[in-house]
Amino acid sequence: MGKRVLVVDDAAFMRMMIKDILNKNGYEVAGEAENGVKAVELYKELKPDLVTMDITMPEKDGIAAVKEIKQIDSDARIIMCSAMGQQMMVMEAIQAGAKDFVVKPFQQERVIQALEKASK
Amino acid sequence: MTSGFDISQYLNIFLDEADEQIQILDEAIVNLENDKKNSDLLNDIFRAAHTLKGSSASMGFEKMASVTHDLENVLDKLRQGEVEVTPEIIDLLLECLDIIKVLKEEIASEGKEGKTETEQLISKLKVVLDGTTVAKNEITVSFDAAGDEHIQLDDVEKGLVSEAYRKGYFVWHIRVTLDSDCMMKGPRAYIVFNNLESIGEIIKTVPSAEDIEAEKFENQFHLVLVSQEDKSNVESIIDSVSEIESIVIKPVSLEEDKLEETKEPEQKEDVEDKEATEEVSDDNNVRRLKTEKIKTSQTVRVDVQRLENLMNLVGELVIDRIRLADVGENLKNHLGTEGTLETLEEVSIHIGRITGELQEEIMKARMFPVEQVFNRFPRMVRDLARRAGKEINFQVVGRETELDRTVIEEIGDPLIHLLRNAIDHGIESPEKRRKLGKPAEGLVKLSASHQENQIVITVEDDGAGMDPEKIKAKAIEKGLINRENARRLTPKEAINLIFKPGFSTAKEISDVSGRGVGMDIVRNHIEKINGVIDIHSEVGKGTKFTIKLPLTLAINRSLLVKLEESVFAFPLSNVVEIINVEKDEIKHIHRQEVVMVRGEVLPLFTLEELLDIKRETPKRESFPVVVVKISEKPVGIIVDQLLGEQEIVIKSLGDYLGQVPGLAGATIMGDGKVALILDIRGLVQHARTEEYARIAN
Repeated sequence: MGKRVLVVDDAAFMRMMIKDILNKNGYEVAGEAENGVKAVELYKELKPDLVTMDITMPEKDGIAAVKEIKQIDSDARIIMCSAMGQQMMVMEAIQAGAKDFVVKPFQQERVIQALEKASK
Repeated sequence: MTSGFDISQYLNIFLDEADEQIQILDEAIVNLENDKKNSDLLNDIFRAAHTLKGSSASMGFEKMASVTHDLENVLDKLRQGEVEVTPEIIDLLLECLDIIKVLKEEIASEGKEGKTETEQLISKLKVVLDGTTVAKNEITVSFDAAGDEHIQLDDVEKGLVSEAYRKGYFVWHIRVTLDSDCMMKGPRAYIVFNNLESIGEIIKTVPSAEDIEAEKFENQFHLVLVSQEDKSNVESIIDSVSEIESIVIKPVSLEEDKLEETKEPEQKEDVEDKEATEEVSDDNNVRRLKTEKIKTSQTVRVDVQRLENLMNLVGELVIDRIRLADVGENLKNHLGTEGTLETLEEVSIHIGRITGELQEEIMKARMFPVEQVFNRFPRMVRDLARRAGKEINFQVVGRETELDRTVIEEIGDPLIHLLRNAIDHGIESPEKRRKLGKPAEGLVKLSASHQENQIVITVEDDGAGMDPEKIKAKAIEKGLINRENARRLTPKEAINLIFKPGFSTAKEISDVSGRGVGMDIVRNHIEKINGVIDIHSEVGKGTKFTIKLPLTLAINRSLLVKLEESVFAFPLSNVVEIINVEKDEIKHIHRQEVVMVRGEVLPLFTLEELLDIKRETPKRESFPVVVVKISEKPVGIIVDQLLGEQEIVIKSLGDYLGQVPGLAGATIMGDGKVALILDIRGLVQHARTEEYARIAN
């Protein structure tokens, strides 16, 4: 059984891309969320092994979602998906407990490496 | 002298002697901590280290030789009084000892030294050595293997590094190289910092942390980490981050500046001098080793399994001996005295005597001095005491007492637990002890001795003792007993509550004891090997645990009883006494039958009800009762008939039957019939639950 991943991004296209990468590499997509509120809800429900989390999203952004998820499950393994120029936000997310980050545009190996390392 | 002769033939002797020296070090270092000024102890340690150094160097075991070499130098400083014996130094000495042990084990199993890391330790030793050379203008922290790369530490940082080493931490110089096309290097480095700060303290980075976060670096940065984690842990923590090309981790060493070289020659000469004298003593060592070899060749190593098998065979022989005697007896009854019969009797008696001796010899071969278990305790006690901030005078008596191998294997854990409890909960803090007018140093005493057919081991402390009232309150709070029942308990019974599963008096959980799984497990362990544990505790004066163990587990003296035509064996270690009870002496508490024995209430059960055998219990005016006891209150078991005492050999019931409740095994009797050995512990537990159920109803 592959690791179960919750994919969080407000852009359907980005989610699709990540799902594609996950499926090709033996991961299972546990669920997807288009904003932070939904991400927290789904995390509680699905208890995924890993989460990929976009930073800028409507309703609730990725950093706030990381903080909430970490409160629910301090062992949550979350990888941030960041765009260039979001250095400060990434650092804030790491401070909040995110394990790693990948930078858009995604390269498949990068995403997989981060997932693998985070799930160790 | 390392080459030119075949060292392999000396390997065993080397190992034997290394064991001896390690033992000396083990004891002496721990003692040294309590007696810091004792120059004899220091000399013992020095000599042992020196011998190890000499012999390991001759054998070509370079790691051990270099550790012992630096150890020896540090010890020399201690002897000269240049360095004071502090707890930190003791820690360092013990750490050396641990490494030496590991190296020795490697040598023992592989015939050569393995990959054990000694660099770190050696650099710690060097810090102590360097710490005493006064005029050091400049210390550079250098990256040994990376050659041209150096990190310059300022005075404050140097102070931190040597302080860290003194406290026994690792100081790692880490070089992290990010993937060349890594985007957002700043946050990447930030994750590394963030992860490392969770296991230690980063005392320096190059470039500075601000520059790194602002991405003012190529793709490589350095940092100095103070941590308790070893190299591989540090590495795996960094490696949990993606987009990292490589990680290089080296211990930071405080090196003397090159200007100091003028001093060197003197020291070198000194070393050479020592080296020369060593040659001589090494030769002596070899000579001594040779003579020892002759001695050691008289012992033979035997696989433990062989001994087990032998014991089993002797067991069979013991059974046949008894049968033979039985047969002889019967024939004599039938045929009267006849010539051949007398011969048979003689032979039978002779065989009996020889089997007896054989049994004893094999039992002896299975016996080990309890030392094997006890010897690891002084170190453990010391470490625990240090961690708990207590001062402990640990005394061990009767190390030479011999115990059966199986018993030795089982007794270690319970003793560790009892010792931990004594240190953690028993002995008060030095301040408190002073206030109470006790010596600041608490006494913990472990002793072993033979008493008749038993081994008695005691663990004693002069600490706070146990307060029966507090224990009752705690047991009520934990729901182990109700208030009404608690009120009726005698102080001794109250103290025995600590054996109940789920009981723990520790107010705070420490990492050594007090997790609430304590004493019931200790008791289970001891009862598993047919032992009994007893507590005697006085508030303010201390606690004494007494453990009584059988000499061996394979052969057992038992009381044989009859139930109809079946024979059952009660292991004598569990039998308190045998009484005869008249029918009209029996009273009832609710539905529970009891009898008064010397003013105490003894609950009665029939053996058939405990074993769940269906039959009409015969109506009798009086009947024999076997009183058994497992740690707590005694229980009386009614049987049909008593047969007598006999030595029996315990056989398992075999895989087919497996574990049968109430039975511990079986044995073959003199007449060839099988007798079942009762599992008294199981029976008593069963009886207790029955009793509670009846009284509750």
